[in-house]
Amino acid sequence: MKFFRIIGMFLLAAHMMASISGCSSRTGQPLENADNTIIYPPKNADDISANIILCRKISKTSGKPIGAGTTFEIRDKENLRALIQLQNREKQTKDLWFHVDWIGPNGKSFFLKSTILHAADSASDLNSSVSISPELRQPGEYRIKLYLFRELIAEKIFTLIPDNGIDENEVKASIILCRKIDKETGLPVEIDSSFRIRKKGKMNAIIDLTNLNPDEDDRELKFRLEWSDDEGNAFFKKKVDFIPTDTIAQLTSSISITPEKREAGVYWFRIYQSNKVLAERRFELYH
Amino acid sequence: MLLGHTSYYFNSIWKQLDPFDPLFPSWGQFMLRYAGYLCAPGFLMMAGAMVWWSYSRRVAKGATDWNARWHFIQRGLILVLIQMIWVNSSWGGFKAFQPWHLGIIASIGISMIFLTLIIKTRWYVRLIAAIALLLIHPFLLKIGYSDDIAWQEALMQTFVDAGDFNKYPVMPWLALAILGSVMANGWLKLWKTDRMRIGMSLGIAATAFLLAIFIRLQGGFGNIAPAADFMSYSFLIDQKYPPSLFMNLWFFGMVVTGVTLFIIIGKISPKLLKVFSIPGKVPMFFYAVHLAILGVFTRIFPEFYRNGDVSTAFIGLAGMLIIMLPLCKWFYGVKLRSKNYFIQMI
Repeated sequence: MKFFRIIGMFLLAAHMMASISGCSSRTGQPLENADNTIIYPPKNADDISANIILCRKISKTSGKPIGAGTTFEIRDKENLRALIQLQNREKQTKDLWFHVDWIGPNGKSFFLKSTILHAADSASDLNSSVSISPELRQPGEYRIKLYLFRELIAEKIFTLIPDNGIDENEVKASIILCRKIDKETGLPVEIDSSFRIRKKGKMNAIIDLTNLNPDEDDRELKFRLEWSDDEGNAFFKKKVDFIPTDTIAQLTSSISITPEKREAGVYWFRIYQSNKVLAERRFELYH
Repeated sequence: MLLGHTSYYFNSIWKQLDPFDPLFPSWGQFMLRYAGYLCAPGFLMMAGAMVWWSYSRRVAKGATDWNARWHFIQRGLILVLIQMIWVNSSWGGFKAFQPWHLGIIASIGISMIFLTLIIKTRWYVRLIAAIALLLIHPFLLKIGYSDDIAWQEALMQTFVDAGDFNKYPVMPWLALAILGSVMANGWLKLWKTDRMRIGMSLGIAATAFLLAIFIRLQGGFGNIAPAADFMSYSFLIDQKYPPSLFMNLWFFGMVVTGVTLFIIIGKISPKLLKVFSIPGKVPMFFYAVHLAILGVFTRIFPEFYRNGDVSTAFIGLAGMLIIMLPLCKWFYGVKLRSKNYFIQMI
C-alpha cells in the first residue's frame, strides 16, 4: 500500500504540474507579420508556424495567389480562398492535425474544416475557401483562424465590403476602326467611324485588350468578334481563343466593304467574352 | 460545473466553440473548458457511489431488496423526467418547451436504473461489468445509423453515440457510475481508516492514469482523435461526446484523486468542506435552479450573453455562488422538514 501511495502522490503531483503549466506549445505573445497574419509563435523554434494569405483565386500552375489582400467585395458566385503556408513542415515527423475556422462579424463560426497532413505527405500548404456570395455573407469584419492540434497558431482579420459593381479582374477592351493597318509598323491608317464603300474596299478593327492575367491558371481566354448591321444581324463572326502571356494583347479583324457585299448604313463592331459585350463601336458605310 | 456553465453563458468563446470538436485560442480558455470536463464523470461516479451506499443502508435498516431497488428506479425515472420537462428548457431561459432530447441528468437517471439491477452483486462483479462496458463501447461506436431516422438516432444516442438528441449516451457513463459504486465499496466499507482510503485511492488513480497514458500514447484502440505531444491540449482532450476509453480512464483517475483530496482536506481542515457540502446535500436542486437562473438572466439581459472572456466566467461564478449557496441551504431545510414525495426525490 505504501508503494501505491508513493507512486500515486508522484503521479498526482506530476499531473497537476503538467496540467497547469505544460499544455500550450505557443508563446503567449502574438506577432503580426508584414502580410497582416497574426502569428502565435511556437515555444520550440522547430515547430510549425503558418502564414495565411487570402485571395480570390490561386493559380493552378504556379500555385500563387491572385488578388490577395484583406478587403474583398461580396460578389455573386465567388469564393474567398485561404492559402496557408506552413513553415518547418519538413522538420515534422508525425501526422499534423489542423482546423481552419472561418468566423463571421457576429463572432460565430460559419465554416470549420479539419485536415490531417500525413507525415509521408510533403505538402507544406493548406487550402480552404468559403463563398462570398451576397446571399450568404454580410459586409463586416471577419476572421480566419488556424489551429494545430486544437491550439490557435495563426489568424487573420479581413473585411468584406459591398460589391461596387466594378470587377478589377475583368478584361478590358478598346476598339479602333481604320481603313488599313500598316504592314511594317502595325499601326492603324485612316482611323475613322465612317468608311466609303468601294471596289476592293476593306476596313479593319484593332482591339486592344488590357488587364489580362497571365498567372491565372493558364486559363484560355475566349472571345467572339462580331460585325453586324444596325438591327443586330451579324454578317461576320470570328472566334479567337488564346492563353495570355502578358497583361495586354491585340486582336484584329477585317471585313470587305465592296458594293457587292455592303449597303450604305449604320453598322456595329462588337467584342464579346462569355456572351458579355466587352466593347463596341458604331460606324457608317456610305457610297 | 458552475464555472463551466457561467463560461457557457458569459464567455464569448462559446460563439464559436463546438463542444464536439473544441478549439482553443488561449491557455485560459483551454483550462476553463477542461475544468468542466471533470463534472460529468464526477456526477456519474458519485451517483453510483450514492446508489450503492444508500441501497446498503436501506437494506441494513430492514427494507426489502425490491423496495430498496424500487426507490432508485423511481429516482432514475424522475431524473429523466426532470431532464425532459425542466433542464432542456431551462438552458434557453424557458423560451421554448423542448422535452424531446436527453442529457446528463437523464443519463444519470438511466444509469441509476441499470445500476440498481446489479447493485446487489459483489464489487468485483460490478468492476468486471464496468470494464466490459468500457472495452465494448469503442466497437459499438462503429455502428452506422442515420440522424434523419428518429428511432435510430434516439436508440443510438440514448445508449452509444452522442449527437443532437443526447450528448451523454448511457453506456460509457453507466460504466463510470458502476465504477463509482465499486469505489464506494472501498471508501465506505472495505478500507477502514483514512490512511487506507487515501493510499488505496491514490494507487487506483495512479493505475488509471498510467493505463490512460498508455492508451493515448499507443494511439490505437481507445482513442478517437489524434494527439500531439504528451499533455498537450489534444492529448488531454480526446473526445468527450461520447467519451473515449482514454477520457473515461483519465477522468476516473481524476475523480478518484479529487475524492482523495477531499478525504485529506477533511482530515486537515474539516471546516473547509462545509462550503462544498451545502450544494452537495441538494445536488439536483442546485443543478436545476442554477441553470434556470443563468438561462433566464441571459434571456432578460442578452447583452451579457457570450460577450465576456475568461474573467467574466469567474465573475459569474462568484455571483452565482452568492445566489445559490443560501438557496441550497434553504432548500435543504425544506427537504428535511417536508414529507412531499417529489421534494424528497429532488
